[in-house]
Amino acid sequence: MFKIKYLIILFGLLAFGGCKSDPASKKSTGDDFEAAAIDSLRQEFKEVYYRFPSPEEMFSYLDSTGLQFNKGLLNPYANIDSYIETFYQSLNMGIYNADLAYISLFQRYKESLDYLQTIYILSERLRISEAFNKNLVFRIENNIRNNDSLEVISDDAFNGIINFLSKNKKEDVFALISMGGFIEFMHLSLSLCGEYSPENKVIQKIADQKLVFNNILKFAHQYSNERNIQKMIGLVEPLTQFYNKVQEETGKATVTKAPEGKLVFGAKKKSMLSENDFYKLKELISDIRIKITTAK
Amino acid sequence: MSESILKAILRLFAIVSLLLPDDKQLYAEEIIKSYLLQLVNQEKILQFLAIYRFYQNDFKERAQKKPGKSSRLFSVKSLLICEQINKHLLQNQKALMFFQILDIVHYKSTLSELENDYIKTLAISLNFSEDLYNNCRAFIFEPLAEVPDKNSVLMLSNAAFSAEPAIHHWQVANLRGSIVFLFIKETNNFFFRHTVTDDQLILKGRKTIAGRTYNFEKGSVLRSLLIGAIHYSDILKYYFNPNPESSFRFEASEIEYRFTRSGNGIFPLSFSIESGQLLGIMGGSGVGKSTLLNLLNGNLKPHSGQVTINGFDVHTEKKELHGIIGYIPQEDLLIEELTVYRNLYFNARLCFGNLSENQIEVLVNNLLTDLDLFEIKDLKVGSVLNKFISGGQRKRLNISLELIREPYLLFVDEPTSGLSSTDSETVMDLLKEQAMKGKLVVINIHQPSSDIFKLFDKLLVLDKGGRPVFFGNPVDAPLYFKKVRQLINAEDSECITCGNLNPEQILQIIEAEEINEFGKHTGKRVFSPDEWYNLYKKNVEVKPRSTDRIKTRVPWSLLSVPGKYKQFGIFLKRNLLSKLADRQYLLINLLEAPLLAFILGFFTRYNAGSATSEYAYIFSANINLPVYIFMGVIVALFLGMMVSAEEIIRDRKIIQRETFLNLSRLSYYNSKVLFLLVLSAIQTLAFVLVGNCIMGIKGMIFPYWMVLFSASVFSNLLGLNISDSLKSVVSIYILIPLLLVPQILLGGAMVRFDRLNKQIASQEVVPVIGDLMASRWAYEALAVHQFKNSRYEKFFYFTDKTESESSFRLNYLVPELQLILDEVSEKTSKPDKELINKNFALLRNELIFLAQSDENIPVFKNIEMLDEEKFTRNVEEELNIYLQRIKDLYLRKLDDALDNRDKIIEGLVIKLGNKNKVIEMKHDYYNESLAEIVMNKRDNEKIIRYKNRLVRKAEPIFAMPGSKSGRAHFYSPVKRIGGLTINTLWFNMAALWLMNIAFFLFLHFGIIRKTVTFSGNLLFKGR
Repeated sequence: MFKIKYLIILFGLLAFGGCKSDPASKKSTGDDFEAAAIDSLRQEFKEVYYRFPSPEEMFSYLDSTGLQFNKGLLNPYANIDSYIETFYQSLNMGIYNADLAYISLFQRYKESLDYLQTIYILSERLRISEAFNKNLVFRIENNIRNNDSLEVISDDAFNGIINFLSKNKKEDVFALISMGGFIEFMHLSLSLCGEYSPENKVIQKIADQKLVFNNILKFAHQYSNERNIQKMIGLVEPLTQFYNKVQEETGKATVTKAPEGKLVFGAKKKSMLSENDFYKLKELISDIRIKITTAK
Repeated sequence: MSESILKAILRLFAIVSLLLPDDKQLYAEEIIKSYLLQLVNQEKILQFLAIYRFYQNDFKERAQKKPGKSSRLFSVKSLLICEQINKHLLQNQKALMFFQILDIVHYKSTLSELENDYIKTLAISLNFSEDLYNNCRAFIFEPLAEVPDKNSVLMLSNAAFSAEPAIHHWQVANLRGSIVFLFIKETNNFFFRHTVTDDQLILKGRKTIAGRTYNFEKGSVLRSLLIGAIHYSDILKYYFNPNPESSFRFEASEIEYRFTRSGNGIFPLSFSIESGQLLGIMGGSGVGKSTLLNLLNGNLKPHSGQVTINGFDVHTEKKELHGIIGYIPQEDLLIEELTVYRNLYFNARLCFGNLSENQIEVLVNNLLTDLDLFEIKDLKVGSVLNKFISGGQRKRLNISLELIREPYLLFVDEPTSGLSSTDSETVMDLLKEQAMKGKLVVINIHQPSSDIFKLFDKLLVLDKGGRPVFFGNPVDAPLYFKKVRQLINAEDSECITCGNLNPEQILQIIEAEEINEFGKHTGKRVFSPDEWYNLYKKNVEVKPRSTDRIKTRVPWSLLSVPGKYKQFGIFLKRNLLSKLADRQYLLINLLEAPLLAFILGFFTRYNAGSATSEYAYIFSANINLPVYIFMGVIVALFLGMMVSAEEIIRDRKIIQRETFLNLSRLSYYNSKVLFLLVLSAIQTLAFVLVGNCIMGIKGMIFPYWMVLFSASVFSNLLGLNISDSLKSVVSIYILIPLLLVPQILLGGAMVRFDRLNKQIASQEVVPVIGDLMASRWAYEALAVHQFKNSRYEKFFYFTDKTESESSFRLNYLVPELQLILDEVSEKTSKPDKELINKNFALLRNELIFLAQSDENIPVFKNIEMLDEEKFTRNVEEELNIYLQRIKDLYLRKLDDALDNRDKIIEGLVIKLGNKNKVIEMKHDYYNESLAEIVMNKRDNEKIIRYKNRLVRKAEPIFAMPGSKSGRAHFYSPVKRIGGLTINTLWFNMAALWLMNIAFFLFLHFGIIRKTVTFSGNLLFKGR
């Protein structure tokens, strides 16, 4: 059976209640993210997956002591009322996913449920809710305090979504969700990283995300005949241009094999941002994010 | 009479008195005094006399001041006074006053020319006809022979006949003089004068003076020690020669009746009686008087024997005898909320379709006056507990209902029960008058007084068990009984001194008990009822002439029932007026609906709050909207039932009577229905206006109103049927929960139709029990319409539907088919043949369905190979590919639909200006909770296998019904019937109205009523 899987293990749920992340990723973490950039070529029948860093990984570099849960950073779930077009529904689904990851750091069950429900509602509107197994939400609600099974449930859920999106040839939706997630992740990191300094490891990581961005964009370009994709490309154009200017020092590409037979493409980058660029990036991300979350 | 009119009359008297010489002034005053006595009470007489004298003086002074002109002046003045009087006095009051004036100028035996002219002028000014004037004048001033209308004169004297043959004469023994009566046709009044000086003739407890004119009113009695009593009805007898054409013979021939349960009834009885008489039926309580009355009037059919009028059978030939018989039962037949006038008025309208409004008014007023009810005509009748008029007045009014059409044969059940002796006399006089006029009046009476007893022309006495024991002249009754018992004083029927007959004696004798050796009553009767009965049969009863069954002419009746439409109008008006008169009823019924709407709306108005305000109300976020809709339906059902539950049963007796009159029952029902329809319309409109406003439901007033109105009408008709079928009000109210709880339970909101008890639930369509519930139709109609046709969803419905269908087929239908395919291709050790065949059938059916439902899908070419025997791996492969292609098709369709949705939104944004407006519109018109329900979001069961088909459970609001017979799943957007596709709103309304019409017909044909009576009889083995 040929299955083309685009597995995106969205970090949030994986790390619920306990940062049990993929051991393979643990190996390759340290100071670096593992940003796997994938080129998707359906014809090659490759099993690839493209993985965002887990919250533990993502926020590991942060000094998490004294870090407070700041609800104000999140996209309020009440905004869902404004998302009536599929474009915004998809983008914001990604954003909410990222928010969910953030929330999971702080073990906040009520907000987790709220955001999960919100994601589910968006999936209904996009007609991809069938990805969620029967009783999924029900199971989640009932297991909210039981960390272990929750992980399994959430794993199932998002495996499901990815499966579904691929089977149903909704790669464009997938691209939008990914981009949304990316923007939010950037937004959160930028808000939590603190003051600018050349030694700030977090900022280094943030800079590395350029690669992730480019890969998502490249992936999306394959479906540029879709209106929504065109819109998205247009929306992030300022960021695209920004990144094109940033200097990069390329490192070696690595390929490792993770336990479940998945291949991990890694690239160690040592990118750096100047102070000006840093603030410019912050502004850009903020702009784009506002446009998405307010659906204007 | 008002004081000002009395004063005017006194002024007139004063002017007249000027014609008299001074020595006759006292004489005039006497006359005036006795006139005043009839009008005011003792204390005021002096006051008015003083006023009279004052006027007199005033006029005298004026006469002295202008001597020459006085007579003209007084004529003018008199004319003015007459004008005033004309406006306020009835004809007979004027006549009385005129007679006083005549009496006053009768101080000498002839009139001067001046006096004559004056009197004549007066008469003309008082609008008296010339005949009237002449008669009156001659009555006073001329010998009787000169009275123009001799027919209207009656003389009483102790001579055998009068000198003047043309006038009526009545010989009264012991009369020391003569009494002369004059009948005034125009006013239907008697006046009399007498010449008796040796005896005291008492009228209304006052001495009458010879030579004076007195008004002899209805029910009056003129008494003296010597002559006894002269009743009004006696006088009447001499004036009315019953029209021989309208005389008839009433005959009961061996009629017998037996109640199966109690053994009581009526023993074989025969009698015959001519019209123009008053027959009294007497007996102890419980002997069967009412039963006998009902046998005679045609209400009850005897088990053997016949009752005939001039040969026409009262029970089998009702049509020919229509309008002849009148019956006044003991119970009240009045409509409490209406006034005395209106009760009689509507009754008259129903009896006389051929008379004009004016004529009926006159008729009614006249009768009310005759019955002394005119003064209270505008008082509400009230209930027996909450009286506005006295018992006697009620009784008279009841009688008036029948009397107005003067039926030839009038049956009255206990006319005097509960009345004072004065009232009893009045009533009996009325009835006697009818008999005098040639009617046959049959009454039941329990304990008549001696006076009443003497009014009877014939007496029938009943003993226990319905045994007749006497029939004949009432005066002979005591004689008969005493003789049988061989009592002393048998010959004395009347008491010598007071003239009283003692009717109680009769009953006493009948029921007398034996005395034992100790002088105590034993409880055993001297003569048993059977003995009395046998005696009666032997001695008293006149056997009917068996061959005498020739039918002669039936008297023509006045009854002219108006046509059905007119009746309908009358019933409606009557109903309306009686409801409007009941303030409490009005208030409660009109306010109840909006009040309920307010309560319902207020408590279900869930304000979720918004970003800006915690208490902000957003329509789309109101979780309770579906509850509001369902409760609205229930409220409509309740309201409809409550107003109709009592409607017919409270009119029970009146309906019986109206059937007696052969009035159209249909018209009656129709009038009730129309009234309730209008009331329901008002109530539901009020409900919708208030409730929808509170809930923020915009712009759907008309559909909501239509649906709730239809539901309310259903309840109305159901309630009317119940009201018509049951015997007591209590039973109705006990039944109501039994009728309404199923509506609540099976309306589709409380319990899902596919989750009911499996023996009645169906997975494909709403089960039959659901289709019988009005609530189901109403609720579904509103829920579907509210969702589908809201201003927001209207734009999206079609594309949402495509989206839903594509998604369903893509994600559930085809995968399920693939699953089934896997099942059949799986090689197991023990293949379940039945299951495999079932699966193949399923596959075939669904593939056919898919091809039929979508023109883009070709029929699977090897469909016949989907069979246990013909199935091959090849076919399996082909089918898999086929199914995958279908999936791809729907994938594209889904994408297209989603794109389409985006485009619509774009269009809306342009149309409305900006996106916020679109979102606002969604907030105002699209309710999330309702959407959740009609899309069945909470349920995970999207598709099931059922009877060789795959049944779609997902998002019912977007699913087309499978059946073409009109049945469908709940929340179906349309219904299909034959080749037509009809919107759920209209289809459901039609279903509701179909039920309404059915119940309307049930009402007309009395189907429910008859079923209830029939089953009641079966159960209790009654009569």
